[in-house]
Amino acid sequence: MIDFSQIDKTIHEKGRLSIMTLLASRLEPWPFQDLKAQLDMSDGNLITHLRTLEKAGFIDGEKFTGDGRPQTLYTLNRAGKKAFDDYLAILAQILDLGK
Amino acid sequence: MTLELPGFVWQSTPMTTREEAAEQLRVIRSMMERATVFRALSGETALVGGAAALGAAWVSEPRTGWTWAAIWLGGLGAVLLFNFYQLVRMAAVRKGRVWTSGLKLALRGAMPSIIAGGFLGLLAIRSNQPSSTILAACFWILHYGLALLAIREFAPKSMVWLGWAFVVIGVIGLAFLTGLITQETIPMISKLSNGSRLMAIAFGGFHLLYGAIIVTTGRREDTAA
Repeated sequence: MIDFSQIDKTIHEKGRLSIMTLLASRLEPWPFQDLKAQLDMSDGNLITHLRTLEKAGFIDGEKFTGDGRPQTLYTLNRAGKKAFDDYLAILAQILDLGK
Repeated sequence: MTLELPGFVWQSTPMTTREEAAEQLRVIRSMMERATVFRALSGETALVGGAAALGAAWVSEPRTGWTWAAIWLGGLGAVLLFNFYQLVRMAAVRKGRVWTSGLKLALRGAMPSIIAGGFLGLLAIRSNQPSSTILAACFWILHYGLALLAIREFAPKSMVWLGWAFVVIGVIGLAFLTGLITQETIPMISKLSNGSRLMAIAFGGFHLLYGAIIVTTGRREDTAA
């Protein structure tokens, strides 16, 4: 029996799901501009989603000014990885249930 | 079989729960593939490819026939070697594999156009006509663009634009060659009636522009974030 209350509504939104997927796709952090290029979102929209995910405790953003040009790098933290794995597991269960 | 589960509000009401789950998994898969392919075609490779194309254009301009084709194929081989080195280097940094599912998918999508274009270009060279290098260049440019567009579903938007740029210049070249576009229509076109120049604009210019955009946007100021 699937417990649908376990589905994380923060991740379930398509934009945030795409961000979580990109962050989960590699170990290195993602620069803001790389995420923007991949997702085809406006700055404002992307920032809103990133802040929501940060507030939920799923991702970490770190600002770097190494060569004088500020750049924010984002990574999926341990809680975010677990939430993403749980979300995938529920999707898989739903698809199995429909067979 | 469809599922309608009460007690949970999904975002797209007309869809069944199972359809929505499948749609979300499709988004995840597409994003995963996109990220892999994006890394497989680095800005550095585009810059090296662009520079190699300009060099090949300079060397090949006074030549025709198989010598002309050999110069371009040699340049292609060198760029492919560099790209392979880049893939190995990136895989080592990621502690992952070179031969990823994303790369396989990209090759599977792009290879039909690449093979067809390569073959048509060599046939044009074999015909040994005065315009055979222009015709070969048009075939190679057009089919390279089509190959990039064939993997558009999991490529970044900038690569789709690159594909369209190649297709447009390939079609314009063919239109000029067949007399559809004349010097009266586009006065500058007569300067492009040369296979090496066409290749320099497309494989040289477009790749340099693409590589510069990718490299600079990756390090661009991120003041909005």
